[in-house]
Amino acid sequence: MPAAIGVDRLERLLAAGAQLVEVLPEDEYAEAHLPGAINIPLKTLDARTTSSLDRGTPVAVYCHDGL
Amino acid sequence: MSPRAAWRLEALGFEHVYDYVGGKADWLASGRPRAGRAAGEVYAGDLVDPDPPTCALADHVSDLGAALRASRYGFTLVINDRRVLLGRVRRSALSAAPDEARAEDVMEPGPSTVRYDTPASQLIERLAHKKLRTAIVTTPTGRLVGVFDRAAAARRLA
Repeated sequence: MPAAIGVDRLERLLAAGAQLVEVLPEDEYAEAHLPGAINIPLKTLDARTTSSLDRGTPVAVYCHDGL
Repeated sequence: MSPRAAWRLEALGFEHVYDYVGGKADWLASGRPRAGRAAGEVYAGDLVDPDPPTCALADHVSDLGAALRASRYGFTLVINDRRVLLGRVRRSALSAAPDEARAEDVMEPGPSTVRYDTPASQLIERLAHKKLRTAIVTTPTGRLVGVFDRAAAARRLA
């Protein structure tokens, strides 16, 4: 079950090597994103677009404000 | 959006999935580093005075006088031990207050604030339109970032 986290936990995960994915549309990602995040828009999220990610390594996702 | 993405990733076989629910809005508003086209945008939080006069709820009014007289803002901000903004005491509030009064008794609770990632140029215009000199910048969790001084910020952007 995915765990909801805040910014402090996110920073600890990233420091430990977690993967970070922004699921907003490409133009919003291009405007501003978290350092180190890759962009996989929700509408394109599937086995192919996530193939570069390691399934055994923690992965954190975010959008604009969680809604 | 991110909750659905998190569940989708889990269905795709990811073993440890986390949803940063505050998202980009929370990250940017807390003044953390950013990447992308807007990385060069100057935010209100980038230009604040990070060390404005502050006091605690229980501080006696008699102890606030010197700090307030020296304050270029004409106020001191009331914060708790986590630096969460609770109120503002204006210099004018002290004149009628008895010495035994505490900051809590004379403060304006819940002063208006702006987020760190408010574009500085927009905030300067907004303050000028309202004939205000300063704005208080806080994080999404209410922690004081600092005081944005319109004139000082305009000089730095010039």
